[in-house]
Amino acid sequence: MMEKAVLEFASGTLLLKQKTEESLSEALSPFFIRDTRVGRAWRAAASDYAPILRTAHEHGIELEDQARAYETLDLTIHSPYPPMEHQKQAMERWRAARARGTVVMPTGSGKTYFAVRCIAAVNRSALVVAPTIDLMVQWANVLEKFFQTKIGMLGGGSKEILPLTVSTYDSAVLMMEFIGNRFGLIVFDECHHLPGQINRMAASMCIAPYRLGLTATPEREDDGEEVMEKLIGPVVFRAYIDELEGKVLAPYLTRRIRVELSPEETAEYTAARKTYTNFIRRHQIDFSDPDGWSRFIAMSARMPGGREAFTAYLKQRQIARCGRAKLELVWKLIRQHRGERILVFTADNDAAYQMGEAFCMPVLTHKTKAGERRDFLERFRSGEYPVLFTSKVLNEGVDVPEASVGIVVSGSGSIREHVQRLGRILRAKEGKQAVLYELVSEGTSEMRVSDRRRQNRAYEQRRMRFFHETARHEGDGSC
Amino acid sequence: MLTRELLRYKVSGAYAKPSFIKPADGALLNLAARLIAVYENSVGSRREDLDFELEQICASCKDIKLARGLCKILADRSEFSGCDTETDHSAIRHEIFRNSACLLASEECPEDPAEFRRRILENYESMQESIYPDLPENERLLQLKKIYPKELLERYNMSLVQSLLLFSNGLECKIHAEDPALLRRLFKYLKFFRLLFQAELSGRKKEAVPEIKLKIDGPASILENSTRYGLQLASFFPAVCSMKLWKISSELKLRTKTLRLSLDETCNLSCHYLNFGAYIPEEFRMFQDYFNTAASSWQLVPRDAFLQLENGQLAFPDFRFRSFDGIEVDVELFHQWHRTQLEERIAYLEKHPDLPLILGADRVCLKKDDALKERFSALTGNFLFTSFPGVENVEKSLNKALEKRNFLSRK
Repeated sequence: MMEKAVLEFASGTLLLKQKTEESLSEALSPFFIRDTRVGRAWRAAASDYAPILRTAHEHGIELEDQARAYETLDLTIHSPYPPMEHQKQAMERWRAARARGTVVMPTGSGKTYFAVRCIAAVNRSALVVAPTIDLMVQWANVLEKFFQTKIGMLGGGSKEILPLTVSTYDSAVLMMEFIGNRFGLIVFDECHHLPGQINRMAASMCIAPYRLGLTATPEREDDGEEVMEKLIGPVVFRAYIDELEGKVLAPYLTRRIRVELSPEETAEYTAARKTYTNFIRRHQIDFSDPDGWSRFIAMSARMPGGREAFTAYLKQRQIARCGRAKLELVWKLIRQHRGERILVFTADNDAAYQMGEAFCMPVLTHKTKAGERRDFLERFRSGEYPVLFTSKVLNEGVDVPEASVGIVVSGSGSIREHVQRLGRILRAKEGKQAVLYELVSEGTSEMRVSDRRRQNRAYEQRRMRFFHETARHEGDGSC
Repeated sequence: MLTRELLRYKVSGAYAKPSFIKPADGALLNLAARLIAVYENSVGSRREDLDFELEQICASCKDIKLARGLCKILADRSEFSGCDTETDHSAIRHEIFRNSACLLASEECPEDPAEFRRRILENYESMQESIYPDLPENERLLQLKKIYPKELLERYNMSLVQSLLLFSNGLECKIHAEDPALLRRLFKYLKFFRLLFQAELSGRKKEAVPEIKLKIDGPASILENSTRYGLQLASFFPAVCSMKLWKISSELKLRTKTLRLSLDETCNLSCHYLNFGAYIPEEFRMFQDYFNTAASSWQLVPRDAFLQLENGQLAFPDFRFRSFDGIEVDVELFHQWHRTQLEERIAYLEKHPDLPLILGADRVCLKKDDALKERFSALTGNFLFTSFPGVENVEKSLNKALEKRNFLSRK
């Protein structure tokens, strides 16, 4: 039996230091590895803090816990409102899983308030990690409102750590080796971002025994779901968009509109596409290969005809994503939905600015400075700006409950991106009927991309009616 | 450092071979000089215009990737302003957006979007071309941190290795320990970048310069084979290149491939970190001179570069003294920012009191920690100083230590 050993938090890991040369207790050995670089010590992942303490307790192993530096708080939710049924169920399941797990709820179904209740229930220092600065600020405002206390912030130029702190993933990764022992609960908002090689360090370097993951779209194409389970806990509760539609979420329609390119655009598209595809065929570039894109870039830089091929690639993409026909259709839809709040999504910044410039309307991208970004969102929420163009920054999380119309001008084949974009307009409001338009340039590669991104229950459970959008834009594709 | 798409390396078997350039190559020096000149002549220009001009030069090069890599290094050394600071573009935009919202809501909203735009912007002459003239591409170059063509090419070679090391999960390194000053600085860089190491000595033959084998990685590396310390390893690497003889080997995870990077001093990489020479601070020089004339019972003698402690740890004493009986004792000084290292060293000496090493600590280092101060003083010979120790203080401490402590012989 080991003499009372000391458990320390050390640079995002745990160090177990013993006073004698005795070997490590067998019960603890699955967690630790002998670290000869630092003397008589064993090292473990910080994220294993809770299981290590539990195991030590169960086996009567005495540890002097010098790792923990988080506090028990005295939190009260101010002006609380009764949880909805799905929030109650989620809370029960999360607690039953020892307050370690992921909760999957669609956007607009009250994930933030659910997390507020979890923070109050755990009553320990807590860190909320969010993917963007906008979301981080939004979290800080919500926590401050409900707990009536100052909230610390890490990211966007702030570096203040308080018992309740919010952070971006980037800042959490940078700081976790110094602050990873200061929180008893860690909440990962949009936790499908966590499994990335870098982001996962925000979870593995933190000792927080209580962990909550929040997402509307947990599915990943890599082994990310396993990583989330290991670092946060299993999925303990799941609610689907169609289950909550009309109750918690606004009723919605999705409409895919095929856009015909003009004859000139078709000719330009075809010529550019031919130049580009001939090049990739000639050099046997396979885009299903993970290195396919890099090969194309490398080949286009050094092979004869490469520069033309690359220019042609950009041209055909630009026509498909934001050609004249789409521009005209977007304008028609904006006019058709006058009086409503409209979000227009594009695949890239150039297209967003092209449209924003064309219609003299606000564009929000990562290039937008922080002050103006806040200003745009506030004015959009208040209705002063009825239309907001964006590429990707509003895909996730940012709360714009007033939006009822979404127009996807272009996007990637990502199901997650498409579901998240739908989520932006689903927050319930009395009398609200949400509608998401998806514009697809007919006869271009966008058709396949569109099919790929719609493979989700939110779309599949509905009868999709495809229809042609001609210059006259007749007909209605409602479901 | 370079971004992934700018990396130039060849794969040869299981090895990644960086495509180094020759910093003395005339054509490359010419290219580097042209790129630097574009930057230097573009102070005050828009970022987009600068990029366009640089891209013209890159496009005319046989190796575009190399030219873009050089541009990336220059971009990292440049400072850009915000855009036109005299005009409040966001305030003008706000007016425009309010007007467009009003017109959209009104019955007069035109069907033609071009007409809509014309009507909104008719009173905004400055925004006709763009309502977003203050985007990053419109920022203006303020300055380029001075760099010479050869230096740029040398930096490029270093960046190639550093950028590959971003994908490294650890570094194995062999260095020749012939210059104590360089070695001390190397280990300071290791600490600065919060890396850990295991050291092994070899080449201890008579007359041979000892060789240190270091296995360098981060605290969590033994738990998980990952590239999480890649940035720290990459940042540390130039310090290795400052050694006269060195060799490194590293495993890289490049997408789906695992490759080895193996380099040595024949790559002629230049360390750009400052103060890497064998500089002796003035207070050290004065202490040495004065001690050898003033001390009666001890003499300063050349020291080894380091002391090897248990578990591969190394200590770097500042001085070695020899008594007239021939007993050699090392002295290691700890300044105010070395508190953690001091604590570690005290713990080590408590276990190994026969090690011929005494410690000097700046008083600030032990301020407000009576427990540590007590442990420090319990080891006979340890002494406190303010800023830098005096000769008499050190000699007295050496005498006390020799009297009370039973030191192991060095030989």
